[in-house]
Amino acid sequence: MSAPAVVLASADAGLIRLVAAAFEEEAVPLQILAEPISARAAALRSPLGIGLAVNGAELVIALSTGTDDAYLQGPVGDARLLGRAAARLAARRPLGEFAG
Amino acid sequence: MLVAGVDVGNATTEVALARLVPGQPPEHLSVTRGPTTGAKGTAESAQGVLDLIERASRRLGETPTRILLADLHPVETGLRELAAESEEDLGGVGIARPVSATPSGVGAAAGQLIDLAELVGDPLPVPVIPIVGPIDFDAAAAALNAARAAGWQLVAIIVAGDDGVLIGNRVDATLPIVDEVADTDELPRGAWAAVEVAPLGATVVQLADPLRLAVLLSLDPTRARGARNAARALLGHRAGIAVRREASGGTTEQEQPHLATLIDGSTRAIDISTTPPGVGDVVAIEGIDANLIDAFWAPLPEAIDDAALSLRLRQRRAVGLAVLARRDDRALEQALGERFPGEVVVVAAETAAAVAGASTTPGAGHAPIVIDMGGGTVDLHVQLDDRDVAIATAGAGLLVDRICGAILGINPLRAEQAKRHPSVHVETPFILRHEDGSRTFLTSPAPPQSVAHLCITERQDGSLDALETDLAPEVWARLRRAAKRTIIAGNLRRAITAAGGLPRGELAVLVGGCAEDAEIVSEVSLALADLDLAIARGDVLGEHGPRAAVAVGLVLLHAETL
Repeated sequence: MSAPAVVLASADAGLIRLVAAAFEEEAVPLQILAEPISARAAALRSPLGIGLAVNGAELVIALSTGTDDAYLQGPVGDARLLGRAAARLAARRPLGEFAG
Repeated sequence: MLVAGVDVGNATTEVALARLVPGQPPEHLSVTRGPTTGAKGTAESAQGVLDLIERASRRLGETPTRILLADLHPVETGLRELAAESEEDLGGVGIARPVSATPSGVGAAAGQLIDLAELVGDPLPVPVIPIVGPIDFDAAAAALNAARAAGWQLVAIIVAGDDGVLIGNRVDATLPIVDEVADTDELPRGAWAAVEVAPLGATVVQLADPLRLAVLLSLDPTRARGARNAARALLGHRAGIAVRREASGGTTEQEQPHLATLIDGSTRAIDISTTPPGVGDVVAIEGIDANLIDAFWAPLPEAIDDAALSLRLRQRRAVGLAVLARRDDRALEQALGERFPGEVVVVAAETAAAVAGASTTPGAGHAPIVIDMGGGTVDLHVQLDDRDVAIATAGAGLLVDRICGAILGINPLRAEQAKRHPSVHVETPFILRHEDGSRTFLTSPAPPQSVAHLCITERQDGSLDALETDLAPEVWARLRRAAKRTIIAGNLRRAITAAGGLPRGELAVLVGGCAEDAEIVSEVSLALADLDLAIARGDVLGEHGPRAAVAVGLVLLHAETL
């Protein structure tokens, strides 16, 4: 059985560092996949049903259920904040910035 | 003759159009409703009346020739938070309550505040609490580890950004570290301070205890007493910072409550610890220039089984006040007279009209007890063979809105929605937890801003209105019901006392906007359980529910005079 984790699909070391920091701060497990897949595909690979991936200039958070659309997205430059929102989504805490 | 029975309430205005022919029962044509414009009974409230009449006339293709009004007395409601107006002296202790959701470590420690950049050279001979500004967490951790290696005695850390756990993991995961401290620039470097982080799910213990706080800050016993306000202010928080400042007495310049003068000449403070007197017993209130009929006040409700929340609510010293004043200027009547081409007639008192309207409820016949629960007042009308009593009490739906708004930190308009509709907690984008603990599953995800928030349901567009409160839905539901019980049922009890009691076993018909609220109806039923009454919700003309009783009643009473 897979350990519960959110999946980030990226090979970008700078992006991974920022997103991983957000997850560490929130104490939520993160799994990195160095594969060029969509956030939705990453979510389908996540035991928690939450995936992140870059699409153009945006970092996208997607869910494995309900909709193919991005649940949340924002500029890649805000990766730390978006990572925090994704981690809080998994931890069931208010998402803070980027929650809309 | 086409007439318009008009009920101008404190929140809602209702217009009932009817055709009257002498000797025949009225032909009821329509009921229209809209928000009251301006305060009830003022010239400004005429606009809402005229708008509704115009709307109803357009639908009917005919304009009424006579407006029928009730004798109106307006209610003013407000809420005063005495604590927010008070100047609290924290007894020479500065405090900070970080919003951090993720502090690091556990425990309390005291030391000298120092900038991270100052952790160089020979270590100070005392424990220190470094303040980390907005720098990268890896760089901060490296500097902190270097300082430790050089002999600096770090006992806690204060971090400006959301990096507490990151720094803790790289320095010492057991150190109490508070993060997301917005005003780190204002912390006085060199001052002695204490930091505490409570375990997950708990709240600070040492900083919330004035003696422990005094020991941590090395205050002498006389100043320990002065630290009580600071300790109290940190109560209920997971993490906190306290800083020793210049000595002071710790006295509190508390804002004083307004005084109500009673009919016997005595005074009573309008405060959270006092109860309002009987109906009509308040003759004057400090700061209010009005000819009073009644005054009623209520504190924020207590949170049963949650001492910390109860204390938080109590510390605000918030009191909702409703004042019913006699209005003799006939401003609405005059304003309508100037702008309406037909006649304007004052037909009867509101309570008499409510009784007539309530009696159109199918099966009610002549209702001997009518309880009109509107926005401003709870009115009781008892009409039996040997007596006919009408009592109006200040404080109803709008006062409940004020109290609910204060609990949730929202304006009264939004609170009106929160009062009427059940809440949910959005646990995940697909799971809602309801007030009874049950859960439902969504087919499309809830919006991100609603996740992990208490939300008001049943907005007109079907969306969820996320609230910035940490209350669980079941806790909020209890507080909401308690507010309704205290104000509506409490005021009804006052009215019954003023009326000299109610006959057992009789029929009581509930009308007015609050009678649409099932929670209020059940609270009223509970409050009257000992009287063994048959309590029924009105259904005016068999189609308007408990609404429009006064407007329709005015038509009925006027028809009797033709």
